[in-house]
Amino acid sequence: MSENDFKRLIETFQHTSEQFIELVEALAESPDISSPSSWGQPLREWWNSARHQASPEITGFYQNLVDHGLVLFRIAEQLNETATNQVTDKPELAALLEEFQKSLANSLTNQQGEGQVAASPMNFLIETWRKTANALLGMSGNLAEPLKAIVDASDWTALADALSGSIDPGQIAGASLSRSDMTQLVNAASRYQEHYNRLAHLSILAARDAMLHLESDLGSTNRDESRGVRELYASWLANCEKAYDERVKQDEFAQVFAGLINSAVELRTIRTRLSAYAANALGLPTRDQIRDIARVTQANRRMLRRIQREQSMIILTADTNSANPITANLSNPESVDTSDGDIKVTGTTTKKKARKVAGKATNKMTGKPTSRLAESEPTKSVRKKSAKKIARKATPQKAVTKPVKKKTASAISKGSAK
Amino acid sequence: MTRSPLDHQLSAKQLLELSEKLGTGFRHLSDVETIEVNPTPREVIRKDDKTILYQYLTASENTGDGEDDNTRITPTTPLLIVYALVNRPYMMDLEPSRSMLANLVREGVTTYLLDWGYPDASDEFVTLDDYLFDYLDSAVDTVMNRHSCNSVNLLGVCQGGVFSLCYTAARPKRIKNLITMVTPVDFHTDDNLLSQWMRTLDVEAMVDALGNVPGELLNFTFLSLKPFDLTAIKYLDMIDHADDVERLEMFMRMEKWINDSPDQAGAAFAEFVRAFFINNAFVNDNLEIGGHRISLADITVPLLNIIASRDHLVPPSSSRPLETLCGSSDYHVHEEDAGHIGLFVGSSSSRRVAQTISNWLVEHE
Repeated sequence: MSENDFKRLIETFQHTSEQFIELVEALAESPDISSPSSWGQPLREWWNSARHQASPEITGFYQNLVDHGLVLFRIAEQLNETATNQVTDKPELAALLEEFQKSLANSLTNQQGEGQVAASPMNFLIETWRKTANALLGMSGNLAEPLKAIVDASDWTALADALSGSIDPGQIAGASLSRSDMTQLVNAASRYQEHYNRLAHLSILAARDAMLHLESDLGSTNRDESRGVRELYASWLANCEKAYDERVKQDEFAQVFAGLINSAVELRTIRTRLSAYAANALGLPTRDQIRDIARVTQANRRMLRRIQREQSMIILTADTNSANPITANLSNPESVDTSDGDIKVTGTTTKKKARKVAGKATNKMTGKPTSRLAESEPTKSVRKKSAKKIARKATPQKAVTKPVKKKTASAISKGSAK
Repeated sequence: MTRSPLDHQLSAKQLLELSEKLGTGFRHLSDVETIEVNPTPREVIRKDDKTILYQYLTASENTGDGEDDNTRITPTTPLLIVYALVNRPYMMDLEPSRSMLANLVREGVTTYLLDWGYPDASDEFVTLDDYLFDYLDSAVDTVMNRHSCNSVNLLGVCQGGVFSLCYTAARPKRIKNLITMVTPVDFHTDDNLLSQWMRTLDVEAMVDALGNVPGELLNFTFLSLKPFDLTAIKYLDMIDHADDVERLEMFMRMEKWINDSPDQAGAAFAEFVRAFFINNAFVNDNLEIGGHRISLADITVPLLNIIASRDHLVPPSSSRPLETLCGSSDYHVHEEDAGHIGLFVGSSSSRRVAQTISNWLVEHE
């Protein structure tokens, strides 16, 4: 990694950066944009000024693109800073990897603003689980913060042990809870924290594996092949996916997954129970009581719908009977098919009469006037075409598509045997 | 001297291009208010609690004029599409050139779709029995009554395919032909990571604790299957094309769909996970829903099974066992070189699959 290379890079970038600032000014209509203090600064400033010009839906989506764009700047910048300040006689590849790792570490420790969140792809995993916990618990994936509202402790395992000994939970904040409640709560929190830590540990191992894969990739790539910072980032992400995939298929990951979700559910269950104590004390309905009402309401709704359906089928039958378009009716038991669990009138009818019946039936089912489609659809769907045209219509499958196959004779007989 | 593995000139050029593309793309998008989906004209046929039954219309049906191609043979029996509960059905109708529904209508298929809607707290105790033998059953009633027929063609997508299999097995006389798309049948195949995870959950405790299961939770679970491909890498790839407005808008529609995950009615979710992910009920032939004993062997109607060969959510190995488990002697399989989502949003694959469905239905009238 020569310094000349980086000087050239800087010169090129300074030139292009000026062009970019012009673009930014034109877009954002803010001529007093300050000089870039970091490589990604123009992009960041442009985005901060331009984002308000679009609807929230568009901005929310575009933020992701800008975030990943900023990561590229960040990587390039970090590579530059570390490379120009050290003299090394190491082979270039090893030096690059070392610098790349430093740049990632810096990206993690120097996170500033939303744009840097994506700096570590492995952070995504932790972020995913944090959001999962949010969905489950309505609290952060790291329990320390939200639970501080109840008890002030950072070492949950130690606290759990202590609680089983001599500490009186009554002395702890949130003191209205019984000793048993407190113990359950803290034990559940401890289990959750343990699974969360195990996930973080697996993520670190995956990140290490990803870096090893990247090293291998860089070493095996044809040295004549040009690789910019874009390819470097893409390669890193691809290797993260590969490393993650290897980890995630192991039993340990499934155990962590189950442990995390199940312990979060356990925690939520305990919390709900504790809330019920408070609700009872205040004379408010508990969640269980509300759920019991919802359960009964659903059962009633189900019954009501069933009655309404049966009623509408009877009305339909009566209507079709009075219109007499169908040769069968309810007075002829053989024409009433109840084998599927509902009432259905069978028989023959003309298409014209059928359309008339369909219109009436639709009225009863939807409560709306007969639609144009209800009348016109059957005629539209009856169309003629010669066999030759059918054959021509069948579009040949592309190479990527297996042709539709029929079961073989043996398969058919097997199917029949069933 | 060996060459540096990083080309700095190229890096600088990439950073500039990136900035320009981001700027250009955003300039094009700044006057877009909302991300539009569902372009194919449709009519609300029936609203039933939170479910909506739609019929999709051809351009001439929508405007009331225009000419139909009366020389074409098209399926006469209407097709009812049943989508999954876990996502919204507009995946099949994202934009005109990538719409499975538009392609089906264009092929002359009379197409209905049952939209399950967004369950809320009042739906916590809605069960699979309710979904299948009440809401779906009512939708089938409506379609049959509108067309004066005693059976419909049924098309189930993903989890909706599982529902379609259950319904057809329990109500065989109401279904003329059955089509399943990217539908899991064997939930215990080795390559089904989602199933391996779901099997480890105490799902009853989860539903007791949560009530309805947040869609966000399921979404994160899906993303966790391939987190870097499904988040970082796709954004990085999109930056390369940020100045391509059409591509950008399509990407945003996809994002909208991915993040639009309804909550799951708690009771139905627990039943589904217990029956399929844990008990693998189709394969073990021990499924019972709402008092209905359901066996795939009872499905004897013609069946077309459409599989996406690169599907990571429903691996092909999970779908293929349908051939041996179903009782139909008229079983067809169509395998498309696509992913779970690409099958619907690829302009060529959605057209090809719609043609395959239409042709197959004409053959089985």
